[in-house]
Amino acid sequence: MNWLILAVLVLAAVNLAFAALVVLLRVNNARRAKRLQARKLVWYPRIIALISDGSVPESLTALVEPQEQGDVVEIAWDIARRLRGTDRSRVEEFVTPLLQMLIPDLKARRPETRARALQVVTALGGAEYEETAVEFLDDPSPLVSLVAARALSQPSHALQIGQVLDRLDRYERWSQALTSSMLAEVGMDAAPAMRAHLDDNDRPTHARAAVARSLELLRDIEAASVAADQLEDADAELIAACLRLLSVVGTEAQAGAVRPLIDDDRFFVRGAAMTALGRLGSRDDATLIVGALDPDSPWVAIRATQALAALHATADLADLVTNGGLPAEAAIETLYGGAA
Amino acid sequence: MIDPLAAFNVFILFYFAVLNGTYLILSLVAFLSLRKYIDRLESLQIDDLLASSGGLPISLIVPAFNESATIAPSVRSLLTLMYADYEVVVVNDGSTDDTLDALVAAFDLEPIVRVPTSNLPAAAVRTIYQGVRHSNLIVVDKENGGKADALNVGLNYSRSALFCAMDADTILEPEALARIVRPFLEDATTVAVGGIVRIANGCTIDGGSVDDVRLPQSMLVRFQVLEYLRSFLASRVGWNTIGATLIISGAFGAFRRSVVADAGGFDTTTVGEDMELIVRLHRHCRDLDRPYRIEFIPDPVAWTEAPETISQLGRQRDRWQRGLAQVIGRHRRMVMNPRYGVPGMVALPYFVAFELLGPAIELLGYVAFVAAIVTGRGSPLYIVAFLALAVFLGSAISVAAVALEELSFRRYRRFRDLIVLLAMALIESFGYRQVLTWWRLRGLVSAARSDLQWGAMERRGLERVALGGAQAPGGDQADTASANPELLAIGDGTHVPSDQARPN
Repeated sequence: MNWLILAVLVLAAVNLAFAALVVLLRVNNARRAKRLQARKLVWYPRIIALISDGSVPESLTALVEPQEQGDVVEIAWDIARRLRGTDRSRVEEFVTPLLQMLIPDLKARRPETRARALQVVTALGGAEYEETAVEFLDDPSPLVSLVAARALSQPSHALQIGQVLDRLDRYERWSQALTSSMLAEVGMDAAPAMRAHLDDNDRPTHARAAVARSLELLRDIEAASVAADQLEDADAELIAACLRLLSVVGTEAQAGAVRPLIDDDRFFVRGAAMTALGRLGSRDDATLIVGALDPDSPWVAIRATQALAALHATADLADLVTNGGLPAEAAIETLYGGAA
Repeated sequence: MIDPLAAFNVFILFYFAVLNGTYLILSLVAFLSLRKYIDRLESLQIDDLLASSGGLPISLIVPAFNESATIAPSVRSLLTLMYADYEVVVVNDGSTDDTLDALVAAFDLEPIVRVPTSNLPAAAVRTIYQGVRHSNLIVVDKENGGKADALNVGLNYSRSALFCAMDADTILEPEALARIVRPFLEDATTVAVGGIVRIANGCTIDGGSVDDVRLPQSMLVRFQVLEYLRSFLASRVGWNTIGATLIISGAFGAFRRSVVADAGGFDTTTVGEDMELIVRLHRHCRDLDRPYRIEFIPDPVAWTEAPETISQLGRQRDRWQRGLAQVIGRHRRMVMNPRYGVPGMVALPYFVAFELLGPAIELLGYVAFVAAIVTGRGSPLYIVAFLALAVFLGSAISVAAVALEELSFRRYRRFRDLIVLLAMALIESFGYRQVLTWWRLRGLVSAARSDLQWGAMERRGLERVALGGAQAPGGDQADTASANPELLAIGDGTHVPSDQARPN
């Protein structure tokens, strides 16, 4: 009996202790926020002044007290993220000596700690930490590897893009949008390496499809012939990505490779082929598109009518309207911008 | 001979020990998980990630029934979200007031032809409109069919790979869409993501966004604030950590369109269509041996209005319980079926034992407790044990939920609000939980009688949740409440909401 009463008392005490802990947490959080705010009031103007008045970054670095290094790095990063060019370089020059404090975090057991440290040192440390980023591409944690890949996918690290491309199979679960836009961030300097990757049959198809999308974002005209060469691949995802690339950078020269695909069994390949043919084909292709129009697939119907509009085949569109059904609705939507 | 009352009392003690013990473990798991999650967010720099990826196109589907008072500011707010590529599809579900007129007038809508891209069965569509000034605003006017039916129509007419289902008077934070899309970017097998729903009563709302977060004046709503914290930050985060998210709030969830369409869209025959869809997605993907992820993440925030009167709250909880019963009844084949992994072997059995049957067992437990005292057959040992397991352990879980909020997002910045929340946590076991249990029991009985009626809910409208929680003039709008059992069990097994409104 006594132990049960004791248990109730302990539970009641635990409740109160929990509550007290929450209050202490709040007090601590408030104190930390106040301290950071005070440091922001001091360091924001100093760093902004460094950008504008041409003073020597090292002299400002010397003013940072050891106990405020962490907060100052945070503040500098916050400012640097919004800057480009020489302004950013000056902030980086100021903060780079302070980044040493994050080196132990790069060896931390928790992947989140490693990732955070890696992000800061690569963002603010410039070329000095490029090799570090390459090393962390092979980190066992996907999160850390992602941070490393993003750090290297910048114009200033264009020479390292091969390292990222070589490891794209690690990022199979990422959405194609994420992979491709990350690679496109590097800019046109990365285009030759990406074209070679797209053309390499030994690479995983999901990676090649993501690269095709990157080349599309970069509008790399030289990628058109490479994309056309992939249209006979067995992988539908790769074919669709190459068709989308062709619809942006292709020319009449690739139209012949696209035409057979408007009858493909897979609706999304058909749809992408219609769009590409609308961009690359001639007025004669309108008949082909109308013939291949699938009255049961809304996506294909929409793509087909948009392709007809791109080919200025208004007469064919008008015919579709009179025939009724799904193609007619798609044609109205395309012809009149949807106006009923 | 064994005294039946004594035997039952032992069973009840065991029941409360397992129930509250489970929640304590979930809270602990949630603590570890939240800490990791917040560090992960910091290391990813979510804004940079989304800026570089351009996000993924997404359609916001907003069912609306008799929302004329609030629909225009709600939609205006949705059109200002910080996201690169999205469309807003408002589905006017046969409103009998002037909801459609309000939309046409506010956004200069004109009729269009738009090809449906899927053909989920739904009530007839009358006209489709598009905004002249906002070309990413589509309004579909249809015959009344209920919320699930309206969502299916929205799905039919949306054009993006992802869609977000929400309620018409839910307020999304500006970066909420960007945040809820992140799991889809990081893992292409993600099929559904739920965000956190918080209570807007008492907050300052200006121009369709929550400016100042405060606790409401009403004790009843304060209790609900606490329930939401417990349910979202402890329960859902905990279940999510073990891969067993069974509920994504109907007020705010994002989905991969193709998978939902393949699975048959929203079920129009249940009052718990949001939970039903998630359970069905688990079943669908596992039946097809398709890799998939269903996630709950706590940083995308939607704000909703909570019931302010006892009767509204009672009807809401009654409805949630009915929804839960329908969902479990429909997917009973998954329960304890190894084919369905953790959701089938752990989460669903838990929901059956503690969420579905919980109200009956708990209420009998309370009755037996009183009977034992009144008849003098309850030993002091039992009384003390009951208090320890049912009351103090339950309170500890609630206090832990407040601690989780303080450790993670700290939305309630005022010190006074924090103290009030802690006080609520300590006192809610004395009356409030028991009343909730009674309402849930009524819902269970209704479900047993296959009662599919929806309770009515009188709504004040979030635009009129004025400074400090005072209500601006203009009168209340009568409305009715729709399904969305936000079954957020915790401690007492209470369910938390996203409740939105309209009749079936």
